[in-house]
This record gives sequence, C-alpha cells and structure tokens, in this order.
Amino acid sequence: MEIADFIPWWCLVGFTAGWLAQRRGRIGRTWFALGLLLGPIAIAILLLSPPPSSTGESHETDPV
Amino acid sequence: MTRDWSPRTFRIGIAASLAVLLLQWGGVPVIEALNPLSVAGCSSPRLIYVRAPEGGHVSADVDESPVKLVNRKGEVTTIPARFDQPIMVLEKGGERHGPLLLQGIDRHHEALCAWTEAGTTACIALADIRAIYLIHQGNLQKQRRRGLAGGAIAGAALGMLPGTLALTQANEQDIPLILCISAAVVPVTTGMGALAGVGTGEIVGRIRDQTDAYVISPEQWRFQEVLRAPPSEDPSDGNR
Repeated sequence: MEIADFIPWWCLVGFTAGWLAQRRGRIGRTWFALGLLLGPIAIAILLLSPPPSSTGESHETDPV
Repeated sequence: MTRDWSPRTFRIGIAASLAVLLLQWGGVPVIEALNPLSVAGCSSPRLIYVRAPEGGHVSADVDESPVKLVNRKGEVTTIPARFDQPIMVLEKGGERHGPLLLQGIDRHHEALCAWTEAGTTACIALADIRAIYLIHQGNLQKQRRRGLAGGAIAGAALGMLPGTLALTQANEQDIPLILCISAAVVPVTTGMGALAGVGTGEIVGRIRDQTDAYVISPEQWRFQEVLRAPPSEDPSDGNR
C-alpha cells in the first residue's frame, strides 16, 4: 500500500478522536490533530484519561 | 480564544473518511462496472500484457518458475516475477503457456522492482495509466502530435516518467515489454485519452493490436474471445 492509501484512515481516526474529545468536554480540534499524529493511540489516551477539570481545557477554548 | 469546531464538522469528517475507506476497499468492482474496458471484455484489475520480442516468444513454467522471454536469437530472459496468484500466459496465435504463479500483479512498485532486477534485458512498465497512455502514444506516432504533446506534458506532471523510460528502452533495444494494467485507474486513462484527443476504446484497441502476447488472470477468459486466440489443445507444447 502506498502512503496515500492511509490518508483516509488517518482522517477517520483524527475526526473520531476530535468527536470523542468534544463529547468528553475536551477540545476537539486539538484531539483531531493528536489523532492524525498518533492514530488509535490518541483515542486510547483520550478514553483512558480522566475527565477534564473545570480549570483545564474545555471545548469552548483553544489554548493553541 | 477560539471556538472549537462544531460537532457536525467531526461527524461529516468521520462519514467522509469512512466513505473513502469503503471505496478503497470495495470500490474496485464499482469502478470496473463503470469501466470502458469492461465492454471490451478485459475488466480484470490484474491484467498483464506481454509483448514478446520480434521473432521470439514468451513462455512460462508451472509452480514458481518465472516468466521467460526469448528473443529472435534464442536468448532467454528470465523475469524475476513474484506474483501471488495463478495466471495464464497466452500468445497471440493460440498457444497457451502456463499456468504459472506470479506475484504482485497489481502492485506497481513490485513490477518496477522486477524490471530493475532484470536490467536492460526486459522491461516491465508501470501498471497504470502511464503504461496505457505510453502504448497509446507509441502507436499514434505522427498522428495528432499536438494533442499528444499536450497529453504527454500533463502525463509527465502525473508521474509518467518511469513508464516512459521502460517503454523507450524496450523499443530502442528490441527487448520485451511487460505491460501491467490496473483497471482501477481507467477513469484516469479516459481523462488522459481525452487530453490526447482519443477515446479509451481506441487506446485499448491499439494496445491489443501491438501486443504479441499477454498475461491474464484465469478468471478473465472473456478477453481471449476478444482476441480470437483460442488456446492450443495440447498445453505440453507451451514452452516451444
């Protein structure tokens, strides 16, 4: 398989990570990028991490 | 402070990614159904044409033996093929050679690798639009030069150079050319043909005219009818 064949897969993981992150009160856009970079690992980290605190990241803001 | 993307954006992204993935995994039959080549009876995405050297022939043994190409001097060239599905080697005129096991028919880079290993004694052109278009280009010769020039420029931009080198080398040195064609790129082929001012059907016809022998997957016997090249009754004379 060529690299281009994996692009849809990366996008799927990225969008899924972002969507899940938003549902868990995190910044979707940031986790979309993490999903692109880390793949399923990002989703695993997201699911295993504790819920964000009130002073932490929220889906309304983007620290970047 | 910047607002995050909306949930709808992510859902659309997920749906679009899934759609592309499904097309990648299961889209070939759909593409083939829409494929102009299917009308001609060669809808296989794993189709190899072998042009034997002038005065020579193509032969192949069973099992893991590689394809052998013999030129007019009787010199044998062995293609280090690594294909993983049984296919048949046929020659125009009705002689059947095979079956044999080849590997990676639809893997363009492996085909190119085999060409490299074979050095200058044989060429395997890339297995997609590049090869189709190059045969088309070689056949048309002086016709429609302006259109071809435009098509060649566009094709070069799409990465036709490896296929160009393979075909040029095969023509200049009168060495065998194995042409691998992937039907999945035929829509692209159609577009390229349009650039050159001809239709895909004409391109395919010219490929067929120029091909002295070809390799085809066994489930694609329909192509045999198109070529009007029935196999010989005695397969034992396959390696003449």
